Amino acid sequence: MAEEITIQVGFGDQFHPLTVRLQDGDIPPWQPDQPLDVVGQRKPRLDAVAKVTGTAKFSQDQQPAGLIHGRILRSPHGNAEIRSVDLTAARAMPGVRSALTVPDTFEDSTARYCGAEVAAIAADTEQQADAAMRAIVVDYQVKEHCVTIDASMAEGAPQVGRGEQKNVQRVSPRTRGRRRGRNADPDADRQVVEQMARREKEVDAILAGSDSVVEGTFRTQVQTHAPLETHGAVCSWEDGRLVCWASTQATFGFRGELTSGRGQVKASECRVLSEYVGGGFGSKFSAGREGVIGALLAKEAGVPVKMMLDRSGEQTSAGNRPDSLQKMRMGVNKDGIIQGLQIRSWGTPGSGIGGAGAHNDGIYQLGEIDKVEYGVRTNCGGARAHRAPGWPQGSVALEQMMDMAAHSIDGVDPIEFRKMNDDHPIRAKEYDIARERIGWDRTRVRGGSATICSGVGIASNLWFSAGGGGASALVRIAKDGAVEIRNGAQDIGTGTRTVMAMVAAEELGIPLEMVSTRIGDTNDPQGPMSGGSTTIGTLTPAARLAAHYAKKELLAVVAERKGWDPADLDLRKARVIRNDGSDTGLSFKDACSLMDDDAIEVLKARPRRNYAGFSDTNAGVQAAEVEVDMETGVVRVKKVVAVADAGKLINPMTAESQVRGGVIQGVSFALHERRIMDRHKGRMLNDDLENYKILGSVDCPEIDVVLVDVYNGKSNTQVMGLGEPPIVATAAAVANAVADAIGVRVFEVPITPRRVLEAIASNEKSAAQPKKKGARL
Amino acid sequence: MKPFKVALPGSIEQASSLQQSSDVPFIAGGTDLLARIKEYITTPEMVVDLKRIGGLGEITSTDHGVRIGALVTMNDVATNLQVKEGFAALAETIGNAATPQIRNMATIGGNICQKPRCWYLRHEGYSCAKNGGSGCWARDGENEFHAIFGNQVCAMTQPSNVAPVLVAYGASIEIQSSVESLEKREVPADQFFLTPEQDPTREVALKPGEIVTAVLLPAKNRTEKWSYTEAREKQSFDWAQASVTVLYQRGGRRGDHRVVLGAVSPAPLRRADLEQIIAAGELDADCIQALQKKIGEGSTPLSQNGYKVPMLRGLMAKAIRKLNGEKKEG
Repeated sequence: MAEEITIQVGFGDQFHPLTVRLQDGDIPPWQPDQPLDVVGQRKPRLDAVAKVTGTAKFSQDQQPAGLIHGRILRSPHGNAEIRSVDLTAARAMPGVRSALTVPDTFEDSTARYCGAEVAAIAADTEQQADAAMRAIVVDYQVKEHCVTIDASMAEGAPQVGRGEQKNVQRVSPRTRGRRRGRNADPDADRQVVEQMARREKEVDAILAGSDSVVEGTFRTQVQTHAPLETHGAVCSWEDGRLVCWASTQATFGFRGELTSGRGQVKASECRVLSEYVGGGFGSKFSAGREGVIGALLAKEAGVPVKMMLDRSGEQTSAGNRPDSLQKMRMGVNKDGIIQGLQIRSWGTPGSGIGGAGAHNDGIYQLGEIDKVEYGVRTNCGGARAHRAPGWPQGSVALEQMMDMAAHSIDGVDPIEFRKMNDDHPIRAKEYDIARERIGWDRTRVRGGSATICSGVGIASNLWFSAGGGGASALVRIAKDGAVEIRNGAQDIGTGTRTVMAMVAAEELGIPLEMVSTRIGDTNDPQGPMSGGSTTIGTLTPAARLAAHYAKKELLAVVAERKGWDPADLDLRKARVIRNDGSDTGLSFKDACSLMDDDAIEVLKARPRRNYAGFSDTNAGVQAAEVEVDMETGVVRVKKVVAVADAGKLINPMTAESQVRGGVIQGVSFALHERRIMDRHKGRMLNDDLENYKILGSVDCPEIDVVLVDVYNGKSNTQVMGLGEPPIVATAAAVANAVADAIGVRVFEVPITPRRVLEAIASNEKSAAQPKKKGARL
Repeated sequence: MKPFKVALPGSIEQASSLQQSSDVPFIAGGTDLLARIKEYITTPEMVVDLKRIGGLGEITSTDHGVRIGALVTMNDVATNLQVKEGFAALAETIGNAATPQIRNMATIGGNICQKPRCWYLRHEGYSCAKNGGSGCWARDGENEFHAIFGNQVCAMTQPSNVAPVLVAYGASIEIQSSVESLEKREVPADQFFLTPEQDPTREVALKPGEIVTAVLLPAKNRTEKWSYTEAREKQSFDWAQASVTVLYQRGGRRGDHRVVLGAVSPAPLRRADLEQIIAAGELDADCIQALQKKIGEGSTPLSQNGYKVPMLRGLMAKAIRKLNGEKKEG
């Protein structure tokens, strides 16, 4: 019996009523005029002390009795076939308890990149495992390799893929019916190619008719996830049941892989525990080969095995953000309205092509778009989802095009230009906040003969997620007043544990300190993977529902024992109150003590679908201020203003932390991080944290986070995702700020001293030469 | 990591006699050696820990200058008053190096003996002139951070930030060995750091059994001005991509000034031609221009490190401006 209600949606001073048909059993979202005691408060994460003092136990820290150590042998060749793997000598080494080969276990004898798994062993000590790993004898047939986008795209490049797979393959627009390893149905493909040609012609014409056309070729680099805790698990078999302490973003997905009939492990029962996770950034959705290997080595050994990757394995083989080569042409009219955009992009997600695209259309009204994306196969470790997959690289290109387009029409202000081509109601406000707080209109020393130049840049972001179905929460109120909320999903550092407890505390009318959370255990109710910035949007409506109905049960007990009307009772500030606000004289604990049973336990699933709400997308604007040393090319990001929104803010403190993390990773992407592949042997040369440069504490800019609270009405908690959006715009804003500072654009990230000095030099050289205009991509 | 034994000698004589070949490395702070052992770049059966040897952990003043024991940590060198007042460029460069944690462990002796950071040398499977093979992978490979001077045999850069500063100050390295019944010798810093042409397999002039026991800084002319400038991508935990050390003597003549370039060549690169320009006139814009014009001379950049030439020009200009603005007397 769906109930129709009217709610207020909006933000700031912009609210309007919206009629919502509540799905079965759901409760209305919090309203703007509703007083909230816990939700919306700044609360330090519940596990802060445990994490800072080291009492929090990560998978890496687990030490079950009898633990031994696993190691994975990786191919040292850029491209090879594994002819044979001989474990005889390794198995005879001291301490060795189990071993396996990848060709036997995974039926895969290709080692298509340097770092590909070849074999694995487990031994009593780490030193014994190291020694035994080096005693494994492998016969490789070494083949030619391509490890960079340019090498793979070159005429006559060695083939990376198998069968008829070409090195360069279109991924969008897609031809239906394309199968793995095979080319598409020629007829269907021809139709798509014809459509593409028509589209290109149409947009060509639109650009030709535009007042101004700007073009650019942009490159972004491969970024590894580099989580502090590497991938892997501690695996233990107890009476035929598998227990894994896994470093994962998806406890239930991890379990599913190890129990699946199609997998290698086929455990009849598996419990995955993941109480604390040392970062994932999108790379830990799968058990991965390391997870499977850990389980199999432990099974053969008969004792628990720790199979966590070393740093080199982490850097080469546990995923990355693909690089990109993007060519763009944009047509804009003198009135500031964008007419059309042509995009051709190439990206290298490893030997496959999934995830090659660079995303950039969705934020602005870009007119007619002609976009073709290609995947380029290389002999490198495969891509995995990386915090807003495809977006930072697309943003780096598009946002620089936006600035170039604004400049081309009589130097329109870049922020004003964006506003002219952006209809998001929240972002419209956010531009003004960013402008003011970064000091956009302040006088600065730019370009020319100055030693240190200063500049500002702007870029926007968006996101799409209010969560979805697939989550249940269990709320348990004990007779002694102890309250616990449980869900089996993981907290990858985003504050899930804290936010779940806050929602339950709010609904139960008790302080946060009275609620404990148990998460990261697949024996508890189902929860989502932490991907697509969906975790809190998915979980909290279930948490609130479970708490709501547990409260109802508790109040029913009180009403029955006291002879009161249950509909007249509520809980607030740990007291039982009446609807008129008067106190009944009973505390929360008094109420609990009235139970006959030991506890009330309520398990509730959230509705599968969300409501229409205020907006389907988050907005977000970031502005960066940089200083560039014109003599050394060194760029310092002084300040980033990050204006973000994520629906209703449950905990502004952890939300702010998310935004800071995104900005830090974004600045790091803009200035430092890059995978360096050796052309000679196809090996990653900076597969460590010494030469793989990541922004350090001294390099961190001042990060000014401004959060906009939005009552979007999409679920009973109205939460939108926040993990990914804050990284989308950062590098683009930095790139625009650098161009503003030095008066010449650096078309590649990371913006290293080398690239800045090269750009300054080429600018000096070409200052006199006229630029050609409007060539085709 | 391959297990190894640790010898804990109590004297230089014992320590020296334990090192029959370079396969038995000395260890002090361990910030470089342990990383190389973990990566199987070196797999010693035994390491000789120097930390129980007395007399190597102090900074003392002598008639000839300041003696810094080899086991003094980088942090203790940088914060030592005698060093800060007399050899400020040394304190400055150490203050920039690595991280506070590393500076608390790493020693001055270990710093000047550390192995190159070349990423080919630090990965298994790359045989080159440095590790007993021939050729240089970086020359036609990935060389963004490699040398632009003297890079024909090997394109490594000397990883010690301190090295060019020691050369500029005319420091000596005190070395002892039991081989010739506890022979003690002092090697001038500019002869201590070797070029690949001198010996591709060694970066410093140590023979088996020889131990660096101290860094000796000579007594100083009190009118000296100094500047140390370096450029690097990150401010936290990164290596310099180029550095310029300048020591200037007011009223000095040819031969009194020092210009030493760091992180652009296999050994610190003293540039007499630049010193002459400084000696020839005022520290003004013309001087900066002349230095900038000259500084790239003799460089042979590789495919990805040509930027180091304009970077050096920039650092040179900064160095001269800093000398002018630097009121502090040496």
